[in-house]
Amino acid sequence: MALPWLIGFLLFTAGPITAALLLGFTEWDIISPPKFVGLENWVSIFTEDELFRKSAVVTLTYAAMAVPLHVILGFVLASLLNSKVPGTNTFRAIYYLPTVLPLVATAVLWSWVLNPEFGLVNYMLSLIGVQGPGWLTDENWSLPSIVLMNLNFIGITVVIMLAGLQRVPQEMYEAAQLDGANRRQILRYVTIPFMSPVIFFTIILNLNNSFQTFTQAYVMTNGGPGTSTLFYMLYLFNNAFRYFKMGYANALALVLFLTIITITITQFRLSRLWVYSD
Amino acid sequence: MTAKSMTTASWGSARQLRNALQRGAVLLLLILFSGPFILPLFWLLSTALKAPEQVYVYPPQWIPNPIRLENFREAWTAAPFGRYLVNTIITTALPLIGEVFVSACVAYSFARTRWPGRDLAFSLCVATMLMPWVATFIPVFLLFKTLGWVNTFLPLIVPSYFGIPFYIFLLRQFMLTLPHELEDAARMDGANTFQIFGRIILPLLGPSLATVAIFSFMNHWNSFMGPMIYLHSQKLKTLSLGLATFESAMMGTGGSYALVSSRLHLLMAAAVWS
Repeated sequence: MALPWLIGFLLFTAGPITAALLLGFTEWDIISPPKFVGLENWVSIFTEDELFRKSAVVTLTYAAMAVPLHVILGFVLASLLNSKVPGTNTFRAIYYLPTVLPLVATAVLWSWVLNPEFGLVNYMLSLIGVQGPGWLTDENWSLPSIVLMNLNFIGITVVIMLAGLQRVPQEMYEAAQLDGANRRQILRYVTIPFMSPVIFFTIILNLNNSFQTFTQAYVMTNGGPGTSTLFYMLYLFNNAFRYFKMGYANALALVLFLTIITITITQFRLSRLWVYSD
Repeated sequence: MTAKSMTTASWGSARQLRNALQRGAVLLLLILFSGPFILPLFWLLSTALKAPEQVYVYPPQWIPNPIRLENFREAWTAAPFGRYLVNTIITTALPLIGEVFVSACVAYSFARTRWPGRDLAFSLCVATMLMPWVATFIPVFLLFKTLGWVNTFLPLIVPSYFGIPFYIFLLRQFMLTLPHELEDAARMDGANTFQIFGRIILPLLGPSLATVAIFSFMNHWNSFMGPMIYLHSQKLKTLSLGLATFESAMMGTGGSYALVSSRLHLLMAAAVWS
């Protein structure tokens, strides 16, 4: 009964990965047959391709902003939801709501919410006397705008964190209180150690999502203005489906794939230093 | 009242006051944080109900006057959203059925049957679960292109009938918690593996199957990249894809603000539909 999976694995995972490895060494425009070009793609990626470098920087910058924001704010929101206040169910639903809505609809909505002239964000800012920036049309603000928009999907992190918080044994809090620990000490020595596997998981999850960000950038800015939001996936997509450079796009895909795998393995290694497990 | 109980009581009420203040603060924070989640959606709904000339009134009107429900009808016909909806239902329902059923079969095989290499196969399955899809999507596209399946729904449906590693993993973990006795009893009564799976295991899996079905539904309903790569003709587009096209068409028509603004309410209505 596992046969379907096995066939699927060969057809859609093992086969394609092998194909990607081989195609990474070719030049192929789909129309004429692929041409073996040796290391040419790889050399050009790492030495000549200015856009590769830019898109890598955009993606890394994005991850550096988005991942800590999601994890820290997710932890804060989950802690608030975990306190015994009436209505937490409603708030949980509110924070989770944007996550169930179609990403494209949210992206379209936010490209208008962030409109400098009649968008909601700049209107709210004007109420407190702040002149908001051009958000998506300003090269310096376009990437932070996407970070901001993506906080819509913090619900996933919040729900995972909340499940983690609810599993911290109550006795631990009571014991710490009896020992006279204050709030900060309880957070530092009880909550965070118990939560460390969950925090670790949300870091991996958000990092993976950040590296594979595509739809938001495609719908909201299409990489612009300039190359300020040219995410790696967008550049990869353009190579494959706009310029039909399949060989080159495959080489780019492998670079991202290996980067994600390396970072994930490194994270697992590092996690032994700080993730508590019993 | 003795002096002792008096001090306990007043200490208790001070503590109660502090607790109440803390709760109030938490509640206030919860309300403040919900603003960024709720207000844009409210703005969306409000814009979708406005007349074109009201859209850019400053300061914005939160409750449109008059409320124009016709926007929804207009947006519905401004692009073939009815067609998009049907397509979205097809490209959601068919993969969903496959993913739920096949993943359950495979999970059963991993959880309950014995065959050589099973544990190795399961580790492989878990490993692919963590694998970024970026590594495979171009070769998979080329595969479907060779098969001549581009611009059909098949590339979006067929892979689902091979099971999804994450769902297989979830369902296997759940099956491991089911008691063996039920299956043993069924086997004693002469049921074969398929009967046990269909009559005993599947019914017991109810809630887990529902979870997988919800994940699968959301994933396919909201999916964008797959439809964009595979569906090119207008009559095959899904809601997400149609909405993105609708927006870029709106932006692309000369891009004049006047024109865009005259249709923003339609766009927002379209977004509500999606």
